[in-house]
Amino acid sequence: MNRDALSSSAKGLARVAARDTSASPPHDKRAADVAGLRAQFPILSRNMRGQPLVYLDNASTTQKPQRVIDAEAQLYETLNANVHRGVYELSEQATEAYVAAHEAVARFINARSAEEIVFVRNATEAINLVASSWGVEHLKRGDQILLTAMEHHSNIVPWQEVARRTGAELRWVECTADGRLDLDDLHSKLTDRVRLVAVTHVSNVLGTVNPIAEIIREAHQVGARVLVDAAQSISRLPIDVQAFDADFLVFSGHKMYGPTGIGVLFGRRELLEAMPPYIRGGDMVKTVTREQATWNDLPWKFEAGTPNIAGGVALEETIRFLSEIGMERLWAHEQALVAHALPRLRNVPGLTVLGPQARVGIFSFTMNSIHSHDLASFLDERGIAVRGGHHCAQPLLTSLGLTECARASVGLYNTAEDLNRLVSALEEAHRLLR
Amino acid sequence: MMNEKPSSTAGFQPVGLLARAELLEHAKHPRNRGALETADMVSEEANPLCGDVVTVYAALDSGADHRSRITRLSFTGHGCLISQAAASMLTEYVVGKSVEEFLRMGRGDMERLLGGVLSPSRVKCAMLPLLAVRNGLARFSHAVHP
Repeated sequence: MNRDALSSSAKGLARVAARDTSASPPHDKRAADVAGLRAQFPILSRNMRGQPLVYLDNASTTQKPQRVIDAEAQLYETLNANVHRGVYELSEQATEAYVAAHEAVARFINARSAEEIVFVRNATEAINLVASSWGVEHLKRGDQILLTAMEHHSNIVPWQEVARRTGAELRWVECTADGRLDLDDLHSKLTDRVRLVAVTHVSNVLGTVNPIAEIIREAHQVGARVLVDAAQSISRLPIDVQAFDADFLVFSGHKMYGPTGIGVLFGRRELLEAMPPYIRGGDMVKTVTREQATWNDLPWKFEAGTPNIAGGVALEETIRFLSEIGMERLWAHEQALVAHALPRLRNVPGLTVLGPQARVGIFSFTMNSIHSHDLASFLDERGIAVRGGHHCAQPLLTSLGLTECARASVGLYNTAEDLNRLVSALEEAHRLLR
Repeated sequence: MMNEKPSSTAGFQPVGLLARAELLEHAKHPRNRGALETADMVSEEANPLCGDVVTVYAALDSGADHRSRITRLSFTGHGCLISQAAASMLTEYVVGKSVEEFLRMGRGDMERLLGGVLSPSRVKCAMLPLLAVRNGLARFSHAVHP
């Protein structure tokens, strides 16, 4: 897929997301083809509590296809040497593979170049990098950092620390009653005192898709920079940092069918160039004297120490896997599951589904006053893996008047049958636990 | 420390703890729920991660053998079915037991009371009321024998 096609399809899908959740019928052939890929995920053939596993905790972490597992092993089997150091052939090949992985990520999110792609451990580390480097360097007393009520803790806690250290003030954009971002509230709080907007692309609790290009456009009008948390969106819809005009965008490999321990910070080149290093040591320097050092070029300035080479190479294989399927097909498959599941879940007695109609395949819910851990245990006893608790979004749950809820979240390998099993188990839970 | 080792699974169904009628009956109709006016010991434990809170109230009596016995146990609190059922079952189970007998109770005893094996992520729910009584007794005996 070429970049223009990806970019225009991203816009098209964003329109679909804003308008309607039933982008394609439940028995769309393309969607069925996607679920057919589940055979490539070895873990999905496991039994849990004596029954076939129904894995519905994909917002937490996704399972990995065999080819990604193989890619990580293969690095150690055939290419292992340190990168950017050796003049011998093996090290050159390892370096080439590691650099190529950065280039693959750059193409996948349509960055201008691989210099804008920094490999980190996960989205959390990427946000901490921006907070510690850009935030502490650029913010001062009187400045404002604008967060949203639906942020994950990873996009809150680092900014609390920046506020504490710089004297900048944290402000919050509220949600509407149906779980969308209140764009009027955003508009009223976007003053020229706001220096940074930190916003999630897709809510990990509500499943809401935020109109990220519109938010960024508004923020840029008051001179604010925007950090986009794409942890939930990267596996679900096309990401185009140029179409978004994003300043920073972060995601984790493990939530997009890739390995744990590898994540990505995209940063606009001129911003990254002006930022001080986050951690310091080998590989991020050009020259070192006893007194001082000069920094390496982008992105290596931010990748001190021996990096996660195997994770980076396996992330490239993940991207190849996703690109071969096509993000449009993934989106269509997921929207078919949403169209299948949402009315059925809403029909379960006692069940309240949080969040708006237009959403990705993330369903958080409460059932009467049953604790989410009891619901999760009850489902677990039937082989169904969902999450209970606060989902690392305590401020959001507090604003909803909750302390916890249960959450089922789909991945590309989930089927309508998986969701039917969830629905009937929830009906049973309502009969037995209430 | 309490015995946190996994118990033997012999005699238990590995699945379906939350479908056990007795456990659900205790959770929905808890025994000895409410504060005890004449409590010798009051103790609260909470699990902030899931919001479970259990407060236990114990009346103690020293018999002719000078061994303290638990004569009544009640509880208040809120949280998941397992923590509330465990508290209810415990209030019935410990009456008449000596403090020494109580202090020997562990995870295996709670599993026997609840009628099933606890998965690792749910152990702390079941242990919460036990922990509350244990910590309360430790403070009580410290106050009596400083």
